[in-house]
Amino acid sequence: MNKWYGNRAEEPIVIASRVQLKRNLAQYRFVGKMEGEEYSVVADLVRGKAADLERVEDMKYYSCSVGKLSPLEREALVENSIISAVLPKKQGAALVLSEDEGVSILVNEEDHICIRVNALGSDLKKAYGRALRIDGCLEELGYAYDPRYGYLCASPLHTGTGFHADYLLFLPAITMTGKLQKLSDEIGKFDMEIFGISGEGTKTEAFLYRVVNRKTLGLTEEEIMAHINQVLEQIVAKEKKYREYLCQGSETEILDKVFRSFGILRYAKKLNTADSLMLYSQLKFGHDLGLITLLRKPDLYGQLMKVQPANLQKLCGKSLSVEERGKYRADYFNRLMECERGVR
Amino acid sequence: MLCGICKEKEATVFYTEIINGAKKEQYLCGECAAKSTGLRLKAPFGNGEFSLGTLLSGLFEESVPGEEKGEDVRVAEPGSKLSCPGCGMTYPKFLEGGVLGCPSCYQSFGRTLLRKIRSKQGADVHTGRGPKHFTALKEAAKTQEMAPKLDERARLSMQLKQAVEREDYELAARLRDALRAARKQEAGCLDE
Ligand SMILES: [Zn+2]
Ligand SMILES: [Zn+2]
Repeated sequence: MNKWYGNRAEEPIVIASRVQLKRNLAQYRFVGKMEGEEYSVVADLVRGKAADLERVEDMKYYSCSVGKLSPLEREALVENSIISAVLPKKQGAALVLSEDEGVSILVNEEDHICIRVNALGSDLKKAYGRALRIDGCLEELGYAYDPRYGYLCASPLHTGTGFHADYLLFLPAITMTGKLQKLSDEIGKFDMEIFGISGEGTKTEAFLYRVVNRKTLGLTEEEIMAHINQVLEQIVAKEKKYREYLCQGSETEILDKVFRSFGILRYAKKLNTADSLMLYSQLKFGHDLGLITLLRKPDLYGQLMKVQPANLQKLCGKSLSVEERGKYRADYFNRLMECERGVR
Repeated sequence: MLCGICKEKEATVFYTEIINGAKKEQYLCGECAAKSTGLRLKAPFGNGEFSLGTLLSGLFEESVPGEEKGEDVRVAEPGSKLSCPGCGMTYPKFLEGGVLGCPSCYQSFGRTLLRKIRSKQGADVHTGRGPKHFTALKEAAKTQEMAPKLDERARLSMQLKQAVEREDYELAARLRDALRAARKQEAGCLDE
């Protein structure tokens, strides 16, 4: 079965949409105060819903205890944003995952349940619709819900809707023109946040960022989505404007960068994750601007899911040292570029 | 720690009193704290049961410096001694770690937590969706509330029709006004 991101061409700016619902079971203490058997009781309750989810979604669902996975498998799930980086460190952590990997349910992270749903491109509605189906199924477990505060979460900062919506954005022009900090300040006024996908502030690899709502209380889910959509519209307009500006102002420079990136990916003998993704993102940028014509449409997200250390080793089928990974990664990109004959 | 006044019950409140410029700090039990402030106790969540934690934080919300008579100004650290009977979480521990211990913490930390939530989230009432069974309950309550009003209208319009048939125009005029008022009121209710 296709992965959720593998079934159509990638958009130039809005790569993906994601929805997260945080939920807790009324009959149990929050994760931080759980003891002994409670972890496995909660995990088993949620994992036991996998069969219902299969019926509702007409798709296979897998479930596992995160502690029982191999370190490589755990790392690969983190790299793919299927689970958070903290989940593997949590006692009694479990995962329920849909076959297309579009839905992951994190169990015993900060809250008993965190439903994560992805959709390709700008399609928050689709992700939300799917999240509601999952939620409707899991709520039979008895959610902690209060008429005043809504869905009760371990952190009061998530209580209310327990709802976070985010867009994964490709923003090379805003980044290159040095406007990211300004953008971050601006959208902060709308109670939104932007952060690089590597997690540390606005620093990022491959110009990829997530924009997410900060507040969860006092607004309906629809209002939160409307707000983030308004912000998205402005960001997309800005990115387009700066792309044009870059094309006019420094076309030779950009053209040179794009073709250099192609050259390196085509012939380099050693590549680390950050460099290879940066080079590939330049290529996507050049392709979206019409500066370079590639036969195989760039899919930055797809590559991101393949070439980070753990996934690369899974792809290769054996564990590799840093050195070996560098060679294998270079080889992978060499072959990917090889089919691009007569590139202009 | 035992209460500084009765020396019997467990102290639940850290209490600072400033009298004539002299600061006096004490740990008190709920009862003695209430007595010594002389404040009215109000249940913050309607008529339901509430934990001691809720009671006291609600109490101390009203104990704002300057509201008291004379120079007797009392200041209490908000929530410093609150704890949740459901899970044992204390309010200071919550402030430290940022996460609560169980769903009951939201009631146990009462207004102190409410104020915190309001300041962080800019709101304190959920307006989004809820679980199916809850939404169903809410809908049922709404229709029940509506029913008597609709009955009242039906009754008035029937009487009006009869009055017109009898050509009792004086009564008809009064019924017409009553019916208008009822409709207006209902529209107002729906606007909310
Ligand atoms: Zn006492
Ligand atoms: Zn508690």
